[in-house]
Amino acid sequence: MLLVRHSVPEVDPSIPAADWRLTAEGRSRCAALAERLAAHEPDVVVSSPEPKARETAELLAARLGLELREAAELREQERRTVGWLERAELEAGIRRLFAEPDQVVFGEESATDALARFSRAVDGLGDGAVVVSHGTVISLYAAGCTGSDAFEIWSGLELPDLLVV
Amino acid sequence: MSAPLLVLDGDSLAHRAYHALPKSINNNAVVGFTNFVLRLWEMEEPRAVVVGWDTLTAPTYRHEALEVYQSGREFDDSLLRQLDLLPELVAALGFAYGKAPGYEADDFLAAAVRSEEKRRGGRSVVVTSDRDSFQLVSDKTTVVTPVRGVSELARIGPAEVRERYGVEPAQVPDFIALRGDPSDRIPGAKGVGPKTAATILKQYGSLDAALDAGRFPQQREELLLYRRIATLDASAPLPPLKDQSPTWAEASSLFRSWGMNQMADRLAARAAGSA
Repeated sequence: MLLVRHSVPEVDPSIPAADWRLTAEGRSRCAALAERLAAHEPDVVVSSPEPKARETAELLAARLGLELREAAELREQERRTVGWLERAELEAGIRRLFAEPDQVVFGEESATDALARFSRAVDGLGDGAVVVSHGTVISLYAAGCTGSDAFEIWSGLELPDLLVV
Repeated sequence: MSAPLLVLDGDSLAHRAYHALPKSINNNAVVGFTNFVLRLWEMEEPRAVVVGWDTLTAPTYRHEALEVYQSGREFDDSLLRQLDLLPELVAALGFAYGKAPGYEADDFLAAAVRSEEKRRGGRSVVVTSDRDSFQLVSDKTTVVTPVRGVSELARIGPAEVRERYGVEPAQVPDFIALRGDPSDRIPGAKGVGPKTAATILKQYGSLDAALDAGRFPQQREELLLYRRIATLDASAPLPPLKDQSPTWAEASSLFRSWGMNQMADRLAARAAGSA
């Protein structure tokens, strides 16, 4: 399966990150990603409903000539109450989230619950599905698949990025 | 039941790791490969581990016999550089490996399985994504293929080979010769897909018998060549596969020398725990 983290968003601290859209640079980067994806011969694009993911998915689906579906369970870990954070604060929060996966320690949803509903959405998909989603939930899922550290994956993900699991 | 020999297709696992982790992680294939191996080692509790490697710089008889064999494969420089590091890591872990010009990783899998079959009560768990390896399956040998990384593994025994291909494990090279193998660019018999290939083998028992009965007279030599290419070469040279105790501390030192301190710390902690 092809896990795609959305492209570069327009950061606006005055609105929740879940409502951010892509920048012009973010839209432009989708072209190169579509080329990388084409080599895997994908058959469908399934996206989180959040605008920055949805927009990424629309651009990819259009370039690849694929059907686009939306799945609410692919949204990012719920943390609307957290608000905008500096990078160091965000990293500290994510570290805590991954370190205490069963607890609601950052935002409104535990890592375990976020991973469970993300997994429900992707486990029925075939290997040719392009799943467009977000850094935290992708890292949790990829960590389970690879036996690797979720925070290391989260820290290493770019905008956009592609993991094949 | 005795502890198995854990037989790993190093290239297959390294490729998976490379694509499953962000490229910005330093030596991501090495990190992912190590995590795969540690997880498998914990799951299977093997008596020993052996890893087979391709030698990408040297063609095998398969490439020389069939020009299109595995053609069109191109690998990132970063992956090639990391593939060069991994045999040293495997040795530092205290595990055995096979790598030699003229042989592919899965030839070493066949050699390891054959060696283990000769031990009393010996059994092997072969981990690879390459379905050619289904020919190794027996009551002593299980093939484990990652479905989604190491979180979901399919265990392939003789019944699963029959279910997937409709043939016995020993018939897999004949099956591949007839059906072809798109990933290796083996063309197969003209107009024959998986169902027809299985039906032919059920009817005749083997490719040889089908050819002797007059099937595919125009393609006889080609099909025999495809089978030879699809047959794993158990003569690949391996070191003795004695029982092993992992040398976590040595691997930790190697990671430290590569500047991979997080992996070094993990293995140092493992070494301290097993001391």
